[in-house]
Amino acid sequence: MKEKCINGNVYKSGVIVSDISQKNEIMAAKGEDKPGEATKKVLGYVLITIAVALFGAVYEYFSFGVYSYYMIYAFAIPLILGVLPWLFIASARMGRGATEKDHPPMYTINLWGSGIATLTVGSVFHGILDIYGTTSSLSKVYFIVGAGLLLTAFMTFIGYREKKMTDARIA
Amino acid sequence: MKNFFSSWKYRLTSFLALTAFTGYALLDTFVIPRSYTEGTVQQSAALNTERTVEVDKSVFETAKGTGANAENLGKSEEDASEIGNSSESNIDNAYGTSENKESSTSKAEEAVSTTIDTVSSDEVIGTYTDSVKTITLSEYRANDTSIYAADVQLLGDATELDESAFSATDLIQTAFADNTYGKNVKDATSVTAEENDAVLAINGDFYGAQNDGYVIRNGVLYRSTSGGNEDLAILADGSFEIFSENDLSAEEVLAAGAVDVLSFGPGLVENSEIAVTKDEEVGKAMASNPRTAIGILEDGHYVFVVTDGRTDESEGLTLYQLAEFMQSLGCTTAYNLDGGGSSTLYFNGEIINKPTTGGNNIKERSVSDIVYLGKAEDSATEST
Repeated sequence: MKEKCINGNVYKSGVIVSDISQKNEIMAAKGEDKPGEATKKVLGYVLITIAVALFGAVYEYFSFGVYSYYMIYAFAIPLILGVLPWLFIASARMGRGATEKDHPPMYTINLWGSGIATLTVGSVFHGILDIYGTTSSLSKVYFIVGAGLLLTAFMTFIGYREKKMTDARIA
Repeated sequence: MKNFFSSWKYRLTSFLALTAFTGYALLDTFVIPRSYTEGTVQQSAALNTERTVEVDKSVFETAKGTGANAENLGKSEEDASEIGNSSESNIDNAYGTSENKESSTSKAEEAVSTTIDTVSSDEVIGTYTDSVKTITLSEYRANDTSIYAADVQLLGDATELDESAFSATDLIQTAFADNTYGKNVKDATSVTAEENDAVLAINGDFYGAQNDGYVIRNGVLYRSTSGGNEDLAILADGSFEIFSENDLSAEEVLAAGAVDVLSFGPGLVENSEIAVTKDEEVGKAMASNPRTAIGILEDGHYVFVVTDGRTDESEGLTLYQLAEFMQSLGCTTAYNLDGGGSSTLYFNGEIINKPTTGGNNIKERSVSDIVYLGKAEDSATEST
């Protein structure tokens, strides 16, 4: 019984498996469970977004009327950079047959994730300093490193896609 | 390499690196003391032939005239401790006035009649007299807030600014915590006051929490990096000048005879008029908080003011209310210093106000600097 996962579809001995639960089972067993993975990522980032938003709100509540945009809007970073892309990936996978090249490889995912984490922590840190009323040159480090990680992730993804497209052409 | 970045090892490494860096950054910002004394004492005020500092007030007049900085008063958003920003409207039914953000663009005098309620008649709670000055400490009550004002009057010949009649210790002085210029070098106002034999002291501008803003203390320039703030210069003749760091360099201010420069702001009263604009009110500190301010009424006549706040007993004042109070005392020039948990008034060995950061614990905050008046060098003093 030869099972293959191609283009988001599962084939058993050359015949497409249309039963969803059977398809998911086979994909999970093969570690090709990309739609599930994307959904989990969406949920994960949604939770992080909520956690950061809550932290910001509570911190502001106790800050005697001082506010910092960096603290209040820190949640926007995991929301825009985390939830939205993964939502797109999850929907694309589930929908119109995106191919393997559209799903980022693990190293891209990890770099991107650490970029989001760095920027978010940096924003909260800068917010804490703002509210206290001080500044630090170390704030900049978060934003530079975070942006660098995101850029690196993006470039590795482009490289990956190029490679996959080239491989497909050769094959 | 791809394998490393694809693995849990990278995630763990980046998590640890982020945590470690953040821990270090927080410690560096708030905890690790750094003394800046090595090579940072730049210049002392030049003394003239009579060994007194020459004062040149025209420098400040010119700066005000040419400075295009009417709007650019006060600090940037990197404001110092506890000065706040409220996005909510400050509707205050007790006074029948309402201020909201939409009216923030109109002039202060038009939108706001008066926001400080009638100040209760003061109660004298302490006095100090020596051969050169008299200090009268009074307590007021306004806007559900206790306000303490120390009125300092230089006596006799001193009011005519005859330098031979009094010594430097009789004029306003400043001191660093632990006698050290640096970051995260802090101590309670009362401790620094005692170390400097002060009879009256208030917290200063908490320069140590900032990376910029002029620092000139007792005639010595420590930091000339501009933060764009509105500063108070105390000149060698005891007069006050409020100026913007955008208009004058620290060296120019020192050369003009400034003995001390405080960098917090904003200016509250200038030429007897309230100088806190509506934009500043909204942009910075509409919230009611404990406050510290210093003012001059006329030559040789000063007032050091500290208010309580953040407690059930005392709500605190907004900047505008503080400005009104200073004006009501007769200040021709008044300047706002670090407020919130930093606000402390020390007089004759005691802390007079109720310093608090959170409202639930009355305790002095450690601050980086103080402004004070010393005890007279002669021993003939009386105090109550």
